[in-house]
Amino acid sequence: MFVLVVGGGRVGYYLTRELIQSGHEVVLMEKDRARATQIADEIGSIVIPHDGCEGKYLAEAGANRADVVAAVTGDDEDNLVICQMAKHHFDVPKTIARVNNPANEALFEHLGVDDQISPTRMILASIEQEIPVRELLHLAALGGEGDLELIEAQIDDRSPAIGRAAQDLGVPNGCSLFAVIRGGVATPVGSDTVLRQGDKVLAIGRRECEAELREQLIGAEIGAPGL
Amino acid sequence: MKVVIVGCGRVGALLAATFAAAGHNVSIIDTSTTAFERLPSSFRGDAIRGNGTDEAVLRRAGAQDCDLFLALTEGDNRNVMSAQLAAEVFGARKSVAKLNDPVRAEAYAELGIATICRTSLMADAILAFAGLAGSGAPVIRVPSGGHDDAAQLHDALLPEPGAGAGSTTRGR
Amino acid sequence: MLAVNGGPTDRQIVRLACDLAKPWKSEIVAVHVVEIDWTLPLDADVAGRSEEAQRVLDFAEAVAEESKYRVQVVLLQARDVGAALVDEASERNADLVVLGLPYRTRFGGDFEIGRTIPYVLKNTQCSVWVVRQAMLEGSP
Repeated sequence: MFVLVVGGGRVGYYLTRELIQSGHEVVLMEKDRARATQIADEIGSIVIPHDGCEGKYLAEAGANRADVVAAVTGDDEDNLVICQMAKHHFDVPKTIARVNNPANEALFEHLGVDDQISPTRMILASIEQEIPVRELLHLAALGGEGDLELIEAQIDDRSPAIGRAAQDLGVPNGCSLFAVIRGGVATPVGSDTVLRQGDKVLAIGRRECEAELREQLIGAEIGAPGL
Repeated sequence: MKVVIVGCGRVGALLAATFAAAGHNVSIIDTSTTAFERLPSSFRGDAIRGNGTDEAVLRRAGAQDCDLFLALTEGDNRNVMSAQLAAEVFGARKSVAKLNDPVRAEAYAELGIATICRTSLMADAILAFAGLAGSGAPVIRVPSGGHDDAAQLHDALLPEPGAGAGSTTRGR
Repeated sequence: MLAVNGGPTDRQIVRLACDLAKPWKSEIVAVHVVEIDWTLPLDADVAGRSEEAQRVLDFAEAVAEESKYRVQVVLLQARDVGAALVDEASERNADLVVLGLPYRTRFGGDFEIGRTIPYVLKNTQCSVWVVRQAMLEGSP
Protein backbone atom coordinates (compact mmCIF):
# COMPACT_ATOMS: atom_id res chain seq x y z
CA MET A 1 0.00 0.00 0.00
CA PHE A 2 1.06 3.58 -0.57
CA VAL A 3 0.36 5.64 2.53
CA LEU A 4 0.66 9.40 2.80
CA VAL A 5 1.20 10.54 6.39
CA VAL A 6 0.74 14.24 7.14
CA GLY A 7 2.24 15.62 10.33
CA GLY A 8 5.67 14.69 11.63
CA GLY A 9 4.98 14.93 15.35
CA ARG A 10 5.46 11.90 17.53
CA VAL A 11 2.41 10.12 16.15
CA GLY A 12 3.38 10.73 12.54
CA TYR A 13 6.98 9.79 13.15
CA TYR A 14 6.29 6.45 14.82
CA LEU A 15 3.46 5.67 12.41
CA THR A 16 5.79 6.22 9.47
CA ARG A 17 8.47 4.02 10.98
CA GLU A 18 6.04 1.21 11.71
CA LEU A 19 4.53 1.39 8.24
CA ILE A 20 7.95 1.17 6.62
CA GLN A 21 8.84 -1.77 8.80
CA SER A 22 5.73 -3.61 7.70
CA GLY A 23 6.75 -3.09 4.10
CA HIS A 24 4.49 -0.26 2.97
CA GLU A 25 5.49 2.60 0.77
CA VAL A 26 5.25 5.79 2.84
CA VAL A 27 5.67 9.52 2.35
CA LEU A 28 5.65 11.84 5.33
CA MET A 29 4.76 15.51 4.98
CA GLU A 30 5.98 17.88 7.68
CA LYS A 31 5.83 21.63 7.18
CA ASP A 32 8.44 22.52 9.76
CA ARG A 33 11.65 22.31 7.77
CA ALA A 34 13.94 21.64 10.70
CA ARG A 35 11.75 18.83 11.97
CA ALA A 36 11.44 17.41 8.44
CA THR A 37 15.21 17.36 8.03
CA GLN A 38 15.66 15.71 11.39
CA ILE A 39 13.23 12.92 10.49
CA ALA A 40 14.76 12.48 7.03
CA ASP A 41 18.19 12.08 8.65
CA GLU A 42 16.78 9.30 10.78
CA ILE A 43 14.51 7.35 8.46
CA GLY A 44 15.57 8.36 4.97
CA SER A 45 14.50 10.45 2.05
CA ILE A 46 10.77 9.94 2.34
CA VAL A 47 9.99 13.29 3.92
CA ILE A 48 8.47 16.19 2.02
CA PRO A 49 9.15 19.42 3.92
CA HIS A 50 5.90 21.15 3.01
CA ASP A 51 2.39 21.84 4.31
CA GLY A 52 0.06 18.93 3.57
CA CYS A 53 -2.93 21.28 3.61
CA GLU A 54 -1.88 22.87 0.36
CA GLY A 55 -3.20 21.26 -2.78
CA LYS A 56 0.01 21.85 -4.67
CA TYR A 57 2.14 19.94 -2.19
CA LEU A 58 -0.36 17.12 -1.75
CA ALA A 59 -0.08 16.64 -5.50
CA GLU A 60 3.72 16.56 -5.31
CA ALA A 61 3.54 13.97 -2.57
CA GLY A 62 1.62 11.64 -4.87
CA ALA A 63 -1.84 12.02 -3.30
CA ASN A 64 -3.23 11.03 -6.71
CA ARG A 65 -2.06 7.44 -6.22
CA ALA A 66 -2.25 7.16 -2.40
CA ASP A 67 -4.28 4.28 -1.01
CA VAL A 68 -4.51 5.92 2.40
CA VAL A 69 -4.00 9.44 3.71
CA ALA A 70 -3.46 9.70 7.47
CA ALA A 71 -3.74 13.23 8.85
CA VAL A 72 -2.12 13.14 12.29
CA THR A 73 -1.10 16.71 13.03
CA GLY A 74 -1.93 18.22 16.42
CA ASP A 75 -4.57 20.51 14.92
CA ASP A 76 -8.05 19.17 14.22
CA GLU A 77 -8.81 21.80 11.61
CA ASP A 78 -5.67 20.92 9.67
CA ASN A 79 -6.49 17.22 9.82
CA LEU A 80 -10.00 17.91 8.57
CA VAL A 81 -8.77 19.97 5.63
CA ILE A 82 -6.10 17.42 4.70
CA CYS A 83 -8.67 14.62 4.64
CA GLN A 84 -11.21 16.64 2.70
CA MET A 85 -8.67 17.73 0.11
CA ALA A 86 -7.44 14.13 -0.20
CA LYS A 87 -10.94 12.76 -0.53
CA HIS A 88 -12.54 15.28 -2.82
CA HIS A 89 -9.63 16.63 -4.79
CA PHE A 90 -7.49 13.50 -5.17
CA ASP A 91 -10.05 10.69 -4.78
CA VAL A 92 -8.05 8.94 -2.08
CA PRO A 93 -9.95 5.75 -1.14
CA LYS A 94 -9.35 5.98 2.62
CA THR A 95 -8.74 9.01 4.81
CA ILE A 96 -7.92 8.84 8.49
CA ALA A 97 -7.86 11.80 10.85
CA ARG A 98 -6.52 12.19 14.32
CA VAL A 99 -9.20 14.03 16.28
CA ASN A 100 -8.08 15.75 19.45
CA ASN A 101 -11.36 17.29 20.50
CA PRO A 102 -14.01 14.54 20.83
CA ALA A 103 -16.67 17.14 20.07
CA ASN A 104 -15.40 17.22 16.49
CA GLU A 105 -15.99 13.53 15.80
CA ALA A 106 -19.52 13.80 14.46
CA LEU A 107 -18.61 16.71 12.20
CA PHE A 108 -15.57 14.91 10.79
CA GLU A 109 -17.56 11.81 10.03
CA HIS A 110 -20.26 13.85 8.39
CA LEU A 111 -17.77 15.76 6.28
CA GLY A 112 -16.40 12.62 4.71
CA VAL A 113 -13.45 11.58 6.88
CA ASP A 114 -13.49 7.78 6.58
CA ASP A 115 -11.89 6.95 9.88
CA GLN A 116 -11.00 8.89 12.96
CA ILE A 117 -8.76 8.17 15.86
CA SER A 118 -9.35 10.13 19.01
CA PRO A 119 -6.65 9.73 21.66
CA THR A 120 -8.76 11.79 24.05
CA ARG A 121 -11.73 9.47 23.60
CA MET A 122 -9.57 6.36 24.02
CA ILE A 123 -8.05 7.57 27.26
CA LEU A 124 -11.50 8.54 28.51
CA ALA A 125 -12.80 5.09 27.67
CA SER A 126 -9.88 3.52 29.46
CA ILE A 127 -10.49 5.62 32.56
CA GLU A 128 -14.18 4.75 32.49
CA GLN A 129 -13.31 1.05 32.51
CA GLU A 130 -11.12 1.49 35.56
CA ILE A 131 -13.60 3.32 37.77
CA PRO A 132 -16.19 1.12 39.49
CA VAL A 133 -19.30 3.29 39.14
CA ARG A 134 -22.83 2.17 38.57
CA GLU A 135 -22.74 3.15 34.98
CA LEU A 136 -22.85 1.68 31.57
CA LEU A 137 -19.33 1.27 30.28
CA HIS A 138 -18.66 2.25 26.71
CA LEU A 139 -16.36 -0.44 25.44
CA ALA A 140 -16.20 0.73 21.85
CA ALA A 141 -17.95 2.93 19.34
CA LEU A 142 -18.75 0.73 16.38
CA GLY A 143 -19.67 3.74 14.26
CA GLY A 144 -21.12 3.19 10.85
CA GLU A 145 -24.79 3.37 10.08
CA GLY A 146 -26.92 3.78 13.21
CA ASP A 147 -24.01 4.97 15.36
CA LEU A 148 -23.80 1.71 17.36
CA GLU A 149 -21.91 1.26 20.58
CA LEU A 150 -20.64 -1.73 22.47
CA ILE A 151 -21.72 -1.36 26.07
CA GLU A 152 -21.13 -3.28 29.30
CA ALA A 153 -23.59 -3.20 32.20
CA GLN A 154 -22.81 -4.47 35.68
CA ILE A 155 -25.85 -6.03 37.37
CA ASP A 156 -25.53 -5.05 41.04
CA ASP A 157 -27.89 -5.48 44.00
CA ARG A 158 -30.04 -2.51 43.00
CA SER A 159 -30.62 -3.64 39.44
CA PRO A 160 -34.27 -4.15 38.45
CA ALA A 161 -33.15 -6.89 36.08
CA ILE A 162 -32.21 -9.39 38.81
CA GLY A 163 -34.21 -12.59 38.57
CA ARG A 164 -35.80 -11.63 35.29
CA ALA A 165 -35.44 -13.34 31.95
CA ALA A 166 -33.92 -11.38 29.10
CA GLN A 167 -37.16 -11.48 27.09
CA ASP A 168 -39.03 -9.76 29.94
CA LEU A 169 -36.65 -6.87 30.36
CA GLY A 170 -38.11 -4.58 27.74
CA VAL A 171 -34.80 -3.96 26.03
CA PRO A 172 -35.25 -0.93 23.78
CA ASN A 173 -35.64 -1.39 20.05
CA GLY A 174 -32.38 -1.31 18.16
CA CYS A 175 -30.57 -2.77 21.16
CA SER A 176 -29.38 -6.30 21.63
CA LEU A 177 -28.05 -8.09 24.71
CA PHE A 178 -25.71 -10.71 23.37
CA ALA A 179 -23.56 -12.09 26.16
CA VAL A 180 -23.54 -12.46 29.90
CA ILE A 181 -20.34 -12.88 31.86
CA ARG A 182 -20.78 -14.87 35.05
CA GLY A 183 -17.91 -16.17 37.16
CA GLY A 184 -15.45 -15.32 34.39
CA VAL A 185 -17.37 -17.34 31.79
CA ALA A 186 -19.14 -15.71 28.85
CA THR A 187 -22.36 -17.27 27.59
CA PRO A 188 -24.71 -16.05 24.88
CA VAL A 189 -27.91 -14.42 26.10
CA GLY A 190 -31.02 -16.39 25.12
CA SER A 191 -34.57 -15.14 25.54
CA ASP A 192 -34.87 -17.28 28.70
CA THR A 193 -31.53 -16.30 30.25
CA VAL A 194 -32.23 -15.10 33.80
CA LEU A 195 -29.95 -12.37 35.06
CA ARG A 196 -28.34 -12.54 38.48
CA GLN A 197 -26.57 -10.13 40.74
CA GLY A 198 -22.88 -9.87 39.80
CA ASP A 199 -23.47 -10.58 36.11
CA LYS A 200 -21.93 -8.46 33.48
CA VAL A 201 -24.09 -8.00 30.42
CA LEU A 202 -22.71 -7.03 27.04
CA ALA A 203 -25.00 -5.14 24.69
CA ILE A 204 -24.86 -3.47 21.33
CA GLY A 205 -27.16 -0.57 20.73
CA ARG A 206 -27.73 2.83 19.28
CA ARG A 207 -26.37 5.72 21.28
CA GLU A 208 -29.82 7.21 21.83
CA CYS A 209 -31.12 3.99 23.44
CA GLU A 210 -28.54 4.25 26.17
CA ALA A 211 -30.67 5.99 28.79
CA GLU A 212 -33.43 3.43 28.45
CA LEU A 213 -30.99 0.56 28.57
CA ARG A 214 -29.41 1.97 31.71
CA GLU A 215 -32.81 2.13 33.35
CA GLN A 216 -33.57 -1.52 32.49
CA LEU A 217 -30.25 -3.00 33.53
CA ILE A 218 -28.87 -0.72 36.21
CA GLY A 219 -31.81 1.15 37.60
CA ALA A 220 -33.22 4.61 37.23
CA GLU A 221 -32.20 6.16 40.50
CA ILE A 222 -28.67 6.99 39.39
CA GLY A 223 -28.88 10.12 37.36
CA ALA A 224 -25.29 10.75 36.40
CA PRO A 225 -25.19 10.71 32.64
CA GLY A 226 -22.38 9.06 30.77
CA LEU A 227 -19.54 11.08 29.35
CA MET B 1 -30.59 39.63 9.93
CA LYS B 2 -28.39 37.64 12.28
CA VAL B 3 -24.66 37.85 11.45
CA VAL B 4 -21.88 35.86 13.15
CA ILE B 5 -18.27 36.82 12.48
CA VAL B 6 -15.23 34.81 13.56
CA GLY B 7 -12.01 36.80 13.78
CA CYS B 8 -11.95 40.39 14.98
CA GLY B 9 -9.14 41.60 12.74
CA ARG B 10 -9.37 44.77 10.67
CA VAL B 11 -11.84 43.28 8.20
CA GLY B 12 -13.89 41.46 10.84
CA ALA B 13 -14.16 44.53 13.07
CA LEU B 14 -15.08 46.81 10.18
CA LEU B 15 -17.81 44.45 8.98
CA ALA B 16 -19.14 43.91 12.50
CA ALA B 17 -19.41 47.65 13.05
CA THR B 18 -21.03 48.23 9.66
CA PHE B 19 -23.61 45.45 10.02
CA ALA B 20 -24.45 46.57 13.57
CA ALA B 21 -24.78 50.21 12.53
CA ALA B 22 -27.20 49.12 9.82
CA GLY B 23 -29.38 47.62 12.53
CA HIS B 24 -28.43 43.94 12.16
CA ASN B 25 -27.92 41.53 15.02
CA VAL B 26 -24.14 40.88 15.16
CA SER B 27 -21.97 38.53 17.21
CA ILE B 28 -18.22 38.63 16.78
CA ILE B 29 -15.86 35.93 18.09
CA ASP B 30 -12.13 36.12 18.73
CA THR B 31 -9.67 34.22 20.88
CA SER B 32 -8.16 37.42 22.17
CA THR B 33 -10.09 40.12 24.00
CA THR B 34 -7.59 42.76 22.93
CA ALA B 35 -8.76 42.19 19.37
CA PHE B 36 -12.13 43.64 20.38
CA GLU B 37 -10.42 47.00 20.90
CA ARG B 38 -10.72 47.36 17.12
CA LEU B 39 -14.48 47.67 17.52
CA PRO B 40 -15.86 51.20 17.80
CA SER B 41 -17.22 52.17 21.22
CA SER B 42 -20.63 52.57 19.60
CA PHE B 43 -20.72 48.84 18.69
CA ARG B 44 -23.98 47.34 19.96
CA GLY B 45 -23.46 43.68 19.10
CA ASP B 46 -22.06 40.78 21.14
CA ALA B 47 -18.32 40.24 21.42
CA ILE B 48 -17.50 36.69 22.50
CA ARG B 49 -14.10 35.42 23.51
CA GLY B 50 -13.49 31.89 22.27
CA ASN B 51 -12.36 29.55 19.51
CA GLY B 52 -14.47 29.76 16.38
CA THR B 53 -14.02 26.07 15.60
CA ASP B 54 -15.58 25.13 18.94
CA GLU B 55 -19.22 24.13 18.63
CA ALA B 56 -20.08 25.41 22.12
CA VAL B 57 -18.63 28.83 21.35
CA LEU B 58 -20.55 29.07 18.09
CA ARG B 59 -23.72 28.08 19.87
CA ARG B 60 -23.10 30.75 22.49
CA ALA B 61 -22.65 33.27 19.69
CA GLY B 62 -26.05 32.29 18.32
CA ALA B 63 -24.86 30.59 15.16
CA GLN B 64 -28.05 28.52 15.03
CA ASP B 65 -29.81 29.37 11.83
CA CYS B 66 -27.94 32.65 11.44
CA ASP B 67 -28.37 34.37 8.11
CA LEU B 68 -24.73 35.11 7.47
CA PHE B 69 -21.64 33.47 8.92
CA LEU B 70 -18.19 34.88 8.17
CA ALA B 71 -14.95 33.07 9.06
CA LEU B 72 -12.22 35.69 8.75
CA THR B 73 -9.32 34.58 10.96
CA GLU B 74 -5.73 34.33 9.75
CA GLY B 75 -5.85 30.53 9.51
CA ASP B 76 -7.24 29.05 6.31
CA ASN B 77 -8.07 25.74 7.91
CA ARG B 78 -9.66 27.27 10.96
CA ASN B 79 -11.88 29.33 8.67
CA VAL B 80 -12.81 26.31 6.60
CA MET B 81 -13.69 24.28 9.65
CA SER B 82 -15.82 26.94 11.35
CA ALA B 83 -17.60 27.82 8.11
CA GLN B 84 -18.44 24.15 7.61
CA LEU B 85 -19.61 23.83 11.21
CA ALA B 86 -21.88 26.83 10.70
CA ALA B 87 -23.28 25.54 7.43
CA GLU B 88 -23.62 21.86 8.31
CA VAL B 89 -24.30 21.82 12.03
CA PHE B 90 -25.95 25.14 12.69
CA GLY B 91 -27.78 25.58 9.42
CA ALA B 92 -26.36 29.01 8.62
CA ARG B 93 -28.00 30.25 5.43
CA LYS B 94 -24.81 31.72 3.99
CA SER B 95 -21.41 30.72 5.23
CA VAL B 96 -18.21 32.30 3.95
CA ALA B 97 -14.59 31.32 4.64
CA LYS B 98 -11.69 33.64 3.92
CA LEU B 99 -8.75 31.77 2.41
CA ASN B 100 -5.27 32.66 1.27
CA ASP B 101 -4.66 29.51 -0.78
CA PRO B 102 -6.49 29.75 -4.14
CA VAL B 103 -6.48 25.95 -4.58
CA ARG B 104 -8.32 25.46 -1.32
CA ALA B 105 -10.70 28.31 -2.15
CA GLU B 106 -11.72 26.49 -5.29
CA ALA B 107 -11.95 23.09 -3.64
CA TYR B 108 -14.15 24.27 -0.80
CA ALA B 109 -16.62 26.05 -3.02
CA GLU B 110 -17.31 22.52 -4.30
CA LEU B 111 -17.84 21.37 -0.73
CA GLY B 112 -20.71 23.64 0.13
CA ILE B 113 -19.27 26.83 1.59
CA ALA B 114 -18.64 30.14 -0.10
CA THR B 115 -15.01 31.21 -0.19
CA ILE B 116 -13.23 34.47 -0.68
CA CYS B 117 -9.56 34.32 -1.61
CA ARG B 118 -7.49 37.31 -0.63
CA THR B 119 -4.60 36.25 -2.87
CA SER B 120 -6.52 36.18 -6.14
CA LEU B 121 -8.65 39.16 -5.07
CA MET B 122 -5.64 41.43 -4.54
CA ALA B 123 -3.73 40.14 -7.53
CA ASP B 124 -6.74 40.67 -9.81
CA ALA B 125 -7.40 44.16 -8.43
CA ILE B 126 -3.81 45.21 -8.99
CA LEU B 127 -3.69 43.65 -12.46
CA ALA B 128 -6.88 45.47 -13.41
CA PHE B 129 -5.44 48.74 -12.11
CA ALA B 130 -2.36 48.13 -14.27
CA GLY B 131 -4.56 47.43 -17.25
CA LEU B 132 -3.85 43.70 -17.42
CA ALA B 133 -6.25 40.79 -17.51
CA GLY B 134 -6.65 39.03 -14.14
CA SER B 135 -7.28 35.39 -13.34
CA GLY B 136 -10.99 35.87 -13.93
CA ALA B 137 -11.70 34.15 -10.60
CA PRO B 138 -14.94 35.32 -8.99
CA VAL B 139 -14.58 37.65 -5.99
CA ILE B 140 -16.58 35.23 -3.87
CA ARG B 141 -16.94 31.66 -5.00
CA VAL B 142 -20.43 30.54 -4.24
CA PRO B 143 -20.93 26.94 -3.20
CA SER B 144 -21.64 24.62 -6.08
CA GLY B 145 -22.20 21.42 -4.14
CA GLY B 146 -22.37 20.20 -0.61
CA HIS B 147 -23.51 17.52 1.71
CA ASP B 148 -27.07 16.61 1.02
CA ASP B 149 -27.69 15.14 4.44
CA ALA B 150 -26.78 18.35 6.24
CA ALA B 151 -30.21 18.63 7.76
CA GLN B 152 -29.88 15.19 9.29
CA LEU B 153 -26.65 16.09 11.07
CA HIS B 154 -28.18 19.36 12.09
CA ASP B 155 -30.92 17.45 13.91
CA ALA B 156 -28.56 14.87 15.37
CA LEU B 157 -26.18 17.39 16.87
CA LEU B 158 -28.71 19.90 18.09
CA PRO B 159 -31.19 18.03 20.24
CA GLU B 160 -32.21 21.25 21.96
CA PRO B 161 -31.50 24.78 20.92
CA GLY B 162 -28.99 26.46 23.22
CA ALA B 163 -29.88 29.66 25.00
CA GLY B 164 -27.34 31.57 22.96
CA ALA B 165 -27.33 35.26 22.29
CA GLY B 166 -28.99 34.71 18.94
CA SER B 167 -31.85 32.52 20.08
CA THR B 168 -34.36 35.32 19.72
CA THR B 169 -33.67 35.80 16.05
CA ARG B 170 -34.04 32.18 15.02
CA GLY B 171 -36.64 31.05 12.54
CA ARG B 172 -36.69 30.70 8.80
CA MET C 1 32.43 5.36 -8.91
CA LEU C 2 31.44 8.43 -10.91
CA ALA C 3 28.16 10.25 -10.64
CA VAL C 4 27.15 11.50 -14.07
CA ASN C 5 24.08 13.63 -14.68
CA GLY C 6 24.40 15.07 -18.16
CA GLY C 7 25.80 18.29 -16.74
CA PRO C 8 28.82 20.31 -17.89
CA THR C 9 31.23 18.45 -15.60
CA ASP C 10 30.63 14.92 -16.90
CA ARG C 11 33.42 15.07 -19.49
CA GLN C 12 35.90 16.35 -16.93
CA ILE C 13 35.26 13.75 -14.26
CA VAL C 14 35.23 10.81 -16.69
CA ARG C 15 38.56 11.92 -18.09
CA LEU C 16 40.03 12.50 -14.67
CA ALA C 17 38.87 9.08 -13.52
CA CYS C 18 40.33 7.34 -16.58
CA ASP C 19 43.73 9.00 -16.13
CA LEU C 20 43.67 8.10 -12.49
CA ALA C 21 42.57 4.50 -13.00
CA LYS C 22 44.91 3.50 -15.84
CA PRO C 23 48.17 2.97 -13.91
CA TRP C 24 46.41 0.61 -11.45
CA LYS C 25 43.94 -0.84 -13.92
CA SER C 26 41.16 0.18 -11.52
CA GLU C 27 37.57 -0.47 -12.30
CA ILE C 28 35.39 2.58 -13.13
CA VAL C 29 31.64 2.63 -12.80
CA ALA C 30 29.64 5.62 -14.05
CA VAL C 31 26.28 5.88 -12.31
CA HIS C 32 23.35 7.93 -13.50
CA VAL C 33 20.36 8.29 -11.19
CA VAL C 34 16.93 9.18 -12.52
CA GLU C 35 14.85 10.73 -9.76
CA ILE C 36 11.24 9.57 -9.62
CA ASP C 37 8.84 11.96 -7.93
CA TRP C 38 6.15 10.71 -5.60
CA THR C 39 3.37 10.94 -8.15
CA LEU C 40 4.74 7.71 -9.65
CA PRO C 41 5.58 4.38 -8.02
CA LEU C 42 9.31 3.79 -7.63
CA ASP C 43 9.28 0.89 -10.06
CA ALA C 44 7.53 2.90 -12.79
CA ASP C 45 9.11 2.28 -16.17
CA VAL C 46 10.84 5.64 -16.52
CA ALA C 47 14.63 5.42 -16.53
CA GLY C 48 14.81 2.57 -19.03
CA ARG C 49 12.69 4.49 -21.51
CA SER C 50 14.47 7.77 -21.06
CA GLU C 51 16.53 8.72 -24.11
CA GLU C 52 18.08 11.46 -22.03
CA ALA C 53 19.38 8.92 -19.51
CA GLN C 54 20.76 6.79 -22.33
CA ARG C 55 22.51 9.82 -23.78
CA VAL C 56 24.18 10.60 -20.47
CA LEU C 57 25.59 7.10 -20.20
CA ASP C 58 26.58 6.93 -23.88
CA PHE C 59 28.47 10.16 -23.45
CA ALA C 60 30.40 8.80 -20.44
CA GLU C 61 31.36 5.72 -22.46
CA ALA C 62 32.43 7.83 -25.41
CA VAL C 63 34.63 10.08 -23.28
CA ALA C 64 36.26 7.02 -21.70
CA GLU C 65 36.93 5.61 -25.16
CA GLU C 66 38.70 8.82 -26.12
CA SER C 67 40.93 8.20 -23.12
CA LYS C 68 41.41 4.59 -24.25
CA TYR C 69 39.81 3.19 -21.13
CA ARG C 70 36.59 1.40 -20.33
CA VAL C 71 33.86 2.42 -17.90
CA GLN C 72 30.96 0.31 -16.83
CA VAL C 73 27.70 2.28 -16.89
CA VAL C 74 24.81 1.87 -14.47
CA LEU C 75 21.35 3.38 -14.62
CA LEU C 76 19.41 3.72 -11.36
CA GLN C 77 15.96 4.94 -10.50
CA ALA C 78 15.39 6.41 -7.05
CA ARG C 79 13.46 8.91 -4.98
CA ASP C 80 16.58 10.78 -4.03
CA VAL C 81 19.85 11.03 -5.99
CA GLY C 82 22.07 11.47 -2.94
CA ALA C 83 20.71 8.47 -1.08
CA ALA C 84 20.95 6.32 -4.22
CA LEU C 85 24.60 7.26 -4.77
CA VAL C 86 25.53 6.54 -1.17
CA ASP C 87 23.82 3.13 -1.29
CA GLU C 88 25.39 2.24 -4.63
CA ALA C 89 28.90 3.20 -3.45
CA SER C 90 28.53 1.07 -0.38
CA GLU C 91 27.10 -1.90 -2.26
CA ARG C 92 29.93 -1.81 -4.78
CA ASN C 93 32.56 -1.30 -2.12
CA ALA C 94 33.78 1.75 -3.99
CA ASP C 95 37.14 3.16 -2.95
CA LEU C 96 36.39 6.59 -4.31
CA VAL C 97 33.30 8.51 -5.35
CA VAL C 98 33.74 11.41 -7.78
CA LEU C 99 31.07 14.04 -8.39
CA GLY C 100 31.09 17.10 -10.56
CA LEU C 101 29.80 20.47 -9.41
CA PRO C 102 28.94 23.08 -12.00
CA TYR C 103 29.73 26.61 -10.90
CA ARG C 104 26.39 28.25 -10.32
CA THR C 105 24.74 30.88 -8.21
CA ARG C 106 21.20 31.15 -7.05
CA PHE C 107 19.25 34.07 -8.54
CA GLY C 108 22.57 35.71 -9.30
CA GLY C 109 23.39 35.74 -5.59
CA ASP C 110 25.25 33.23 -3.48
CA PHE C 111 27.17 30.25 -4.77
CA GLU C 112 24.97 27.18 -4.52
CA ILE C 113 26.04 23.62 -3.87
CA GLY C 114 22.62 21.95 -4.02
CA ARG C 115 21.63 19.12 -1.69
CA THR C 116 23.02 15.99 -3.34
CA ILE C 117 26.70 16.80 -2.82
CA PRO C 118 26.40 17.72 0.87
CA TYR C 119 24.40 14.52 1.39
CA VAL C 120 27.01 12.36 -0.33
CA LEU C 121 29.87 14.11 1.49
CA LYS C 122 28.15 13.54 4.78
CA ASN C 123 27.05 9.94 4.31
CA THR C 124 29.47 8.06 2.05
CA GLN C 125 31.90 5.67 3.76
CA CYS C 126 34.75 5.93 1.27
CA SER C 127 36.60 9.00 0.05
CA VAL C 128 34.67 11.52 -1.99
CA TRP C 129 36.06 13.96 -4.51
CA VAL C 130 34.03 16.89 -5.70
CA VAL C 131 35.33 18.45 -8.90
CA ARG C 132 34.09 21.99 -9.19
CA GLN C 133 33.85 23.38 -12.68
CA ALA C 134 36.12 26.36 -13.34
CA MET C 135 34.42 29.74 -13.11
CA LEU C 136 33.30 30.99 -16.48
CA GLU C 137 34.67 34.21 -17.97
CA GLY C 138 32.84 37.08 -16.35
CA SER C 139 31.83 35.12 -13.24
CA PRO C 140 32.43 36.89 -9.94
